[in-house]
Amino acid sequence: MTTMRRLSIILVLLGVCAGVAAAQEPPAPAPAPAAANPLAGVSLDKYRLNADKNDALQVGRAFLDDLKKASPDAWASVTEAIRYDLQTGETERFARQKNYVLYAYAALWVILLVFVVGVFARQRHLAAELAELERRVSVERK
Amino acid sequence: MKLRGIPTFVFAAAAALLFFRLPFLVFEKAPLDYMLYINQKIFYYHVPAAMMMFLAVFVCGVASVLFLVKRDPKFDDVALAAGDLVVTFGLIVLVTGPIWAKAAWGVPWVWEARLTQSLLLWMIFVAYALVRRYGGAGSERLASGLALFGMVNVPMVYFAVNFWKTQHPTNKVVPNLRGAMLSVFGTATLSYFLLFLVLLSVRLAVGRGQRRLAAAHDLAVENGHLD
Repeated sequence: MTTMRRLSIILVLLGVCAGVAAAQEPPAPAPAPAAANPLAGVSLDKYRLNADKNDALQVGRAFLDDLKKASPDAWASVTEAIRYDLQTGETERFARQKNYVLYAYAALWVILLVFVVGVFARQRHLAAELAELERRVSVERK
Repeated sequence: MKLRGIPTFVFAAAAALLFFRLPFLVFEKAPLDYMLYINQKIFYYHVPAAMMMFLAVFVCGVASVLFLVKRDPKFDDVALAAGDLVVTFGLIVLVTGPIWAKAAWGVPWVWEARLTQSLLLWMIFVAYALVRRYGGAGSERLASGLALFGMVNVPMVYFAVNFWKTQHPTNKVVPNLRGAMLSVFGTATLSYFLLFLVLLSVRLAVGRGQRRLAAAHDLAVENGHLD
Protein backbone atom coordinates (compact mmCIF):
# COMPACT_ATOMS: atom_id res chain seq x y z
CA MET A 1 0.00 0.00 0.00
CA THR A 2 1.47 3.32 -0.96
CA THR A 3 2.03 6.05 1.58
CA MET A 4 -0.49 8.33 -0.17
CA ARG A 5 -3.25 5.69 0.09
CA ARG A 6 -2.50 5.21 3.84
CA LEU A 7 -2.66 8.91 4.46
CA SER A 8 -5.98 9.14 2.59
CA ILE A 9 -7.51 6.36 4.69
CA ILE A 10 -6.31 8.04 7.91
CA LEU A 11 -7.81 11.37 6.83
CA VAL A 12 -11.16 9.73 5.95
CA LEU A 13 -11.24 7.96 9.35
CA LEU A 14 -10.45 11.22 11.14
CA GLY A 15 -13.24 12.93 9.24
CA VAL A 16 -15.72 10.21 10.15
CA CYS A 17 -14.71 10.41 13.85
CA ALA A 18 -15.10 14.19 13.83
CA GLY A 19 -18.54 13.86 12.22
CA VAL A 20 -19.69 11.33 14.80
CA ALA A 21 -18.38 13.50 17.65
CA ALA A 22 -20.16 16.55 16.25
CA ALA A 23 -23.38 14.60 15.88
CA GLN A 24 -23.20 13.50 19.53
CA GLU A 25 -22.71 17.06 20.87
CA PRO A 26 -25.82 18.62 22.34
CA PRO A 27 -27.27 21.32 20.11
CA ALA A 28 -26.09 24.82 20.93
CA PRO A 29 -28.56 26.58 23.16
CA ALA A 30 -30.72 29.12 21.41
CA PRO A 31 -29.53 32.66 22.08
CA ALA A 32 -31.22 34.17 25.05
CA PRO A 33 -33.82 36.73 24.08
CA ALA A 34 -32.38 40.22 24.25
CA ALA A 35 -33.09 41.92 27.52
CA ALA A 36 -35.82 44.44 27.12
CA ASN A 37 -34.50 47.99 26.92
CA PRO A 38 -35.34 49.47 30.33
CA LEU A 39 -35.63 52.92 28.78
CA ALA A 40 -38.05 51.73 26.09
CA GLY A 41 -41.17 52.65 27.97
CA VAL A 42 -39.84 55.67 29.77
CA SER A 43 -40.95 59.05 28.51
CA LEU A 44 -37.90 61.14 27.56
CA ASP A 45 -39.90 64.13 26.31
CA LYS A 46 -38.57 66.20 29.16
CA TYR A 47 -35.06 65.93 27.68
CA ARG A 48 -35.98 66.78 24.10
CA LEU A 49 -34.38 69.93 22.67
CA ASN A 50 -36.79 72.79 22.27
CA ALA A 51 -34.90 75.61 20.57
CA ASP A 52 -37.30 78.23 21.96
CA LYS A 53 -36.94 77.20 25.60
CA ASN A 54 -33.55 75.59 26.10
CA ASP A 55 -30.37 74.45 24.44
CA ALA A 56 -28.79 71.04 23.97
CA LEU A 57 -26.36 71.60 26.83
CA GLN A 58 -29.17 72.35 29.30
CA VAL A 59 -31.32 69.34 28.45
CA GLY A 60 -28.29 67.06 28.30
CA ARG A 61 -27.19 68.15 31.74
CA ALA A 62 -30.73 67.77 33.12
CA PHE A 63 -30.81 64.18 31.82
CA LEU A 64 -27.43 63.36 33.36
CA ASP A 65 -28.44 64.93 36.70
CA ASP A 66 -31.63 62.89 36.82
CA LEU A 67 -29.75 59.76 35.82
CA LYS A 68 -27.19 60.36 38.57
CA LYS A 69 -29.94 60.68 41.17
CA ALA A 70 -31.67 57.53 39.92
CA SER A 71 -28.54 55.41 39.48
CA PRO A 72 -25.03 56.74 40.18
CA ASP A 73 -23.50 53.60 38.61
CA ALA A 74 -25.43 54.04 35.36
CA TRP A 75 -24.49 57.73 35.31
CA ALA A 76 -20.80 56.85 35.77
CA SER A 77 -20.93 54.36 32.88
CA VAL A 78 -22.72 56.78 30.57
CA THR A 79 -20.35 59.67 31.26
CA GLU A 80 -17.36 57.35 30.81
CA ALA A 81 -18.69 56.21 27.42
CA ILE A 82 -19.32 59.83 26.37
CA ARG A 83 -15.86 60.86 27.54
CA TYR A 84 -14.22 58.07 25.56
CA ASP A 85 -16.18 58.81 22.38
CA LEU A 86 -15.49 62.52 22.64
CA GLN A 87 -11.82 61.98 23.30
CA THR A 88 -11.45 59.62 20.37
CA GLY A 89 -13.29 61.99 18.03
CA GLU A 90 -11.33 65.02 19.20
CA THR A 91 -7.99 63.24 18.87
CA GLU A 92 -8.77 62.30 15.26
CA ARG A 93 -10.01 65.82 14.52
CA PHE A 94 -6.90 67.36 16.10
CA ALA A 95 -4.53 65.17 14.10
CA ARG A 96 -6.37 65.90 10.83
CA GLN A 97 -6.60 69.66 11.38
CA LYS A 98 -3.02 69.95 12.63
CA ASN A 99 -1.87 68.88 9.17
CA TYR A 100 -3.81 71.73 7.55
CA VAL A 101 -2.23 74.23 9.94
CA LEU A 102 1.23 72.91 9.04
CA TYR A 103 0.46 73.04 5.29
CA ALA A 104 -0.61 76.69 5.61
CA TYR A 105 2.50 77.54 7.62
CA ALA A 106 4.76 75.80 5.09
CA ALA A 107 3.02 77.57 2.18
CA LEU A 108 3.60 80.94 3.83
CA TRP A 109 7.35 80.38 4.09
CA VAL A 110 7.72 78.88 0.62
CA ILE A 111 6.01 81.94 -0.94
CA LEU A 112 8.14 84.38 1.06
CA LEU A 113 11.29 82.44 0.23
CA VAL A 114 10.47 82.52 -3.50
CA PHE A 115 9.96 86.29 -3.30
CA VAL A 116 13.24 86.88 -1.43
CA VAL A 117 15.19 84.60 -3.80
CA GLY A 118 13.62 86.46 -6.75
CA VAL A 119 14.69 89.85 -5.34
CA PHE A 120 18.24 88.64 -4.73
CA ALA A 121 18.40 87.15 -8.24
CA ARG A 122 17.37 90.55 -9.65
CA GLN A 123 19.98 92.23 -7.46
CA ARG A 124 22.71 89.91 -8.78
CA HIS A 125 21.52 90.42 -12.35
CA LEU A 126 21.66 94.16 -11.79
CA ALA A 127 25.23 93.97 -10.43
CA ALA A 128 26.28 91.90 -13.45
CA GLU A 129 24.70 94.42 -15.83
CA LEU A 130 26.46 97.28 -14.05
CA ALA A 131 29.83 95.51 -14.32
CA GLU A 132 29.19 94.88 -18.03
CA LEU A 133 28.30 98.54 -18.58
CA GLU A 134 31.47 99.69 -16.80
CA ARG A 135 33.56 97.29 -18.89
CA ARG A 136 32.01 98.45 -22.16
CA VAL A 137 32.43 102.12 -21.27
CA SER A 138 36.10 101.62 -20.33
CA VAL A 139 36.74 99.69 -23.56
CA GLU A 140 35.08 102.42 -25.63
CA ARG A 141 37.13 105.13 -23.88
CA LYS A 142 40.40 103.37 -24.72
CA MET B 1 19.51 100.56 2.65
CA LYS B 2 17.67 102.62 5.23
CA LEU B 3 14.08 103.12 6.32
CA ARG B 4 13.64 106.64 7.66
CA GLY B 5 17.28 106.74 8.71
CA ILE B 6 17.27 103.33 10.42
CA PRO B 7 19.21 100.58 8.61
CA THR B 8 16.91 97.97 7.08
CA PHE B 9 18.74 95.15 8.82
CA VAL B 10 17.45 96.45 12.18
CA PHE B 11 13.89 95.94 10.95
CA ALA B 12 14.92 92.61 9.43
CA ALA B 13 16.42 91.44 12.74
CA ALA B 14 13.30 92.51 14.66
CA ALA B 15 11.04 90.76 12.14
CA ALA B 16 13.17 87.60 12.31
CA LEU B 17 13.02 87.57 16.12
CA LEU B 18 9.26 88.02 16.14
CA PHE B 19 8.70 85.39 13.44
CA PHE B 20 10.87 82.98 15.42
CA ARG B 21 8.77 83.62 18.54
CA LEU B 22 5.43 83.62 16.75
CA PRO B 23 4.86 79.82 16.36
CA PHE B 24 5.38 79.38 20.12
CA LEU B 25 2.85 82.10 20.84
CA VAL B 26 0.34 80.78 18.31
CA PHE B 27 0.54 77.14 19.42
CA GLU B 28 1.30 77.57 23.13
CA LYS B 29 -0.12 80.88 24.34
CA ALA B 30 -3.20 81.47 22.19
CA PRO B 31 -6.09 79.35 23.46
CA LEU B 32 -7.96 76.89 21.27
CA ASP B 33 -11.04 78.35 19.61
CA TYR B 34 -14.29 76.81 20.89
CA MET B 35 -15.87 76.47 17.43
CA LEU B 36 -13.02 76.16 14.94
CA TYR B 37 -10.62 74.26 17.19
CA ILE B 38 -6.97 74.01 16.06
CA ASN B 39 -7.60 75.12 12.46
CA GLN B 40 -8.22 78.61 13.87
CA LYS B 41 -4.42 78.87 14.30
CA ILE B 42 -4.20 79.60 10.55
CA PHE B 43 -5.97 82.88 11.39
CA TYR B 44 -2.73 84.27 12.90
CA TYR B 45 -0.99 83.94 9.51
CA HIS B 46 -3.87 84.43 7.09
CA VAL B 47 -5.41 87.66 8.42
CA PRO B 48 -2.15 89.66 8.92
CA ALA B 49 -1.13 88.63 5.38
CA ALA B 50 -4.46 90.02 4.12
CA MET B 51 -3.86 93.24 6.06
CA MET B 52 -0.40 93.61 4.51
CA MET B 53 -1.90 92.94 1.09
CA PHE B 54 -4.35 95.83 1.62
CA LEU B 55 -1.53 98.04 2.91
CA ALA B 56 0.58 97.24 -0.15
CA VAL B 57 -2.39 98.03 -2.42
CA PHE B 58 -2.80 101.44 -0.75
CA VAL B 59 0.94 102.20 -0.96
CA CYS B 60 0.93 101.20 -4.63
CA GLY B 61 -2.26 103.18 -5.36
CA VAL B 62 -1.18 106.37 -3.57
CA ALA B 63 2.32 106.23 -5.12
CA SER B 64 0.69 105.76 -8.54
CA VAL B 65 -1.51 108.82 -8.03
CA LEU B 66 1.52 110.88 -6.99
CA PHE B 67 3.43 109.59 -10.01
CA LEU B 68 0.59 110.52 -12.37
CA VAL B 69 0.33 114.00 -10.82
CA LYS B 70 4.01 114.87 -10.31
CA ARG B 71 5.67 112.59 -12.90
CA ASP B 72 8.46 111.95 -10.41
CA PRO B 73 9.98 108.47 -11.05
CA LYS B 74 10.70 107.93 -7.34
CA PHE B 75 6.95 107.47 -6.78
CA ASP B 76 6.86 104.99 -9.63
CA ASP B 77 9.65 102.99 -7.95
CA VAL B 78 7.60 102.83 -4.73
CA ALA B 79 4.48 101.77 -6.67
CA LEU B 80 6.39 99.04 -8.48
CA ALA B 81 7.87 97.66 -5.23
CA ALA B 82 4.49 97.75 -3.47
CA GLY B 83 2.83 96.09 -6.49
CA ASP B 84 5.15 93.10 -6.12
CA LEU B 85 4.27 92.90 -2.42
CA VAL B 86 0.54 92.84 -3.26
CA VAL B 87 1.17 89.80 -5.45
CA THR B 88 3.29 88.10 -2.76
CA PHE B 89 1.04 88.74 0.25
CA GLY B 90 -2.03 88.12 -1.92
CA LEU B 91 -0.66 84.74 -2.87
CA ILE B 92 -0.15 83.92 0.82
CA VAL B 93 -3.79 84.89 1.48
CA LEU B 94 -5.07 82.88 -1.48
CA VAL B 95 -3.09 79.77 -0.52
CA THR B 96 -3.58 79.77 3.27
CA GLY B 97 -7.27 80.72 2.90
CA PRO B 98 -8.32 77.63 0.92
CA ILE B 99 -6.25 75.40 3.22
CA TRP B 100 -8.17 76.86 6.17
CA ALA B 101 -11.46 76.59 4.27
CA LYS B 102 -10.80 72.90 3.58
CA ALA B 103 -10.25 72.33 7.31
CA ALA B 104 -13.20 74.45 8.50
CA TRP B 105 -15.79 74.18 5.71
CA GLY B 106 -14.77 70.89 4.09
CA VAL B 107 -14.19 72.56 0.71
CA PRO B 108 -11.20 74.70 -0.29
CA TRP B 109 -13.08 77.26 -2.33
CA VAL B 110 -16.60 78.62 -2.76
CA TRP B 111 -17.47 81.30 -5.30
CA GLU B 112 -18.79 83.77 -2.76
CA ALA B 113 -18.25 87.54 -2.68
CA ARG B 114 -15.24 87.90 -0.35
CA LEU B 115 -13.21 85.11 -1.93
CA THR B 116 -14.02 86.07 -5.51
CA GLN B 117 -13.28 89.75 -4.91
CA SER B 118 -9.96 88.87 -3.27
CA LEU B 119 -9.00 86.72 -6.26
CA LEU B 120 -9.96 89.58 -8.59
CA LEU B 121 -7.85 92.05 -6.60
CA TRP B 122 -4.87 89.73 -6.77
CA MET B 123 -5.33 89.22 -10.51
CA ILE B 124 -5.42 93.02 -11.06
CA PHE B 125 -1.99 93.28 -9.45
CA VAL B 126 -0.66 90.29 -11.36
CA ALA B 127 -1.75 92.23 -14.46
CA TYR B 128 0.01 95.30 -13.02
CA ALA B 129 3.26 93.34 -12.62
CA LEU B 130 2.97 91.89 -16.14
CA VAL B 131 2.32 95.33 -17.68
CA ARG B 132 5.34 96.73 -15.86
CA ARG B 133 7.57 93.88 -16.97
CA TYR B 134 6.48 93.44 -20.58
CA GLY B 135 4.63 96.70 -21.38
CA GLY B 136 7.68 98.52 -22.68
CA ALA B 137 8.19 102.27 -22.63
CA GLY B 138 5.27 104.30 -21.32
CA SER B 139 3.70 101.34 -19.51
CA GLU B 140 4.21 103.13 -16.17
CA ARG B 141 1.16 105.35 -16.68
CA LEU B 142 -1.02 102.49 -17.89
CA ALA B 143 0.06 100.43 -14.86
CA SER B 144 -0.63 103.38 -12.55
CA GLY B 145 -4.23 103.43 -13.79
CA LEU B 146 -4.45 99.71 -13.08
CA ALA B 147 -3.13 100.26 -9.54
CA LEU B 148 -5.80 102.91 -8.96
CA PHE B 149 -8.45 100.48 -10.14
CA GLY B 150 -7.06 97.93 -7.70
CA MET B 151 -7.09 100.41 -4.82
CA VAL B 152 -10.76 101.19 -5.43
CA ASN B 153 -11.44 97.45 -5.25
CA VAL B 154 -10.12 97.17 -1.66
CA PRO B 155 -13.26 98.51 0.10
CA MET B 156 -15.30 96.15 -2.06
CA VAL B 157 -13.22 93.22 -0.79
CA TYR B 158 -13.37 94.37 2.82
CA PHE B 159 -17.09 95.13 2.95
CA ALA B 160 -18.12 92.20 0.73
CA VAL B 161 -19.06 90.26 3.89
CA ASN B 162 -21.47 93.07 4.84
CA PHE B 163 -23.00 93.64 1.40
CA TRP B 164 -23.59 90.01 0.47
CA LYS B 165 -24.42 86.85 2.35
CA THR B 166 -21.09 85.05 2.47
CA GLN B 167 -19.59 81.96 4.01
CA HIS B 168 -16.47 83.89 5.01
CA PRO B 169 -16.39 85.17 8.63
CA THR B 170 -17.50 88.77 9.13
CA ASN B 171 -15.28 91.78 9.87
CA LYS B 172 -16.23 91.57 13.56
CA VAL B 173 -13.82 88.74 14.34
CA VAL B 174 -10.71 90.90 14.88
CA PRO B 175 -12.44 93.67 16.94
CA ASN B 176 -13.96 90.97 19.18
CA LEU B 177 -10.65 89.27 19.99
CA ARG B 178 -9.86 89.22 23.71
CA GLY B 179 -7.00 88.22 26.03
CA ALA B 180 -4.20 86.03 24.71
CA MET B 181 -5.81 85.73 21.28
CA LEU B 182 -5.64 89.51 20.87
CA SER B 183 -2.03 89.81 22.06
CA VAL B 184 -0.85 86.96 19.81
CA PHE B 185 -2.72 88.46 16.87
CA GLY B 186 -1.09 91.85 17.62
CA THR B 187 2.36 90.24 17.65
CA ALA B 188 1.62 88.44 14.38
CA THR B 189 0.47 91.69 12.75
CA LEU B 190 3.56 93.54 13.99
CA SER B 191 5.80 90.74 12.62
CA TYR B 192 4.12 90.98 9.25
CA PHE B 193 4.34 94.77 9.26
CA LEU B 194 8.10 94.67 9.92
CA LEU B 195 8.50 92.06 7.21
CA PHE B 196 6.47 94.27 4.88
CA LEU B 197 8.80 97.23 5.54
CA VAL B 198 11.91 95.11 4.97
CA LEU B 199 10.64 93.58 1.73
CA LEU B 200 9.45 96.96 0.47
CA SER B 201 12.84 98.50 1.24
CA VAL B 202 14.78 95.69 -0.46
CA ARG B 203 12.53 95.65 -3.53
CA LEU B 204 12.65 99.43 -3.72
CA ALA B 205 16.47 99.36 -3.71
CA VAL B 206 16.47 96.92 -6.63
CA GLY B 207 13.95 99.06 -8.57
CA ARG B 208 15.99 102.21 -8.01
CA GLY B 209 19.15 100.36 -9.03
CA GLN B 210 17.48 99.28 -12.28
CA ARG B 211 16.40 102.84 -13.01
CA ARG B 212 19.87 104.25 -12.31
CA LEU B 213 21.50 101.59 -14.46
CA ALA B 214 19.19 102.40 -17.36
CA ALA B 215 19.95 106.11 -16.90
CA ALA B 216 23.71 105.43 -16.81
CA HIS B 217 23.41 103.36 -19.99
CA ASP B 218 21.52 106.17 -21.76
CA LEU B 219 24.08 108.72 -20.56
CA ALA B 220 26.96 106.59 -21.84
CA VAL B 221 25.28 106.33 -25.25
CA GLU B 222 24.52 110.05 -25.25
CA ASN B 223 28.15 110.96 -24.51
CA GLY B 224 29.43 108.64 -27.17
CA HIS B 225 31.01 106.13 -24.78
CA LEU B 226 28.74 103.39 -26.14
CA ASP B 227 27.09 102.62 -29.44
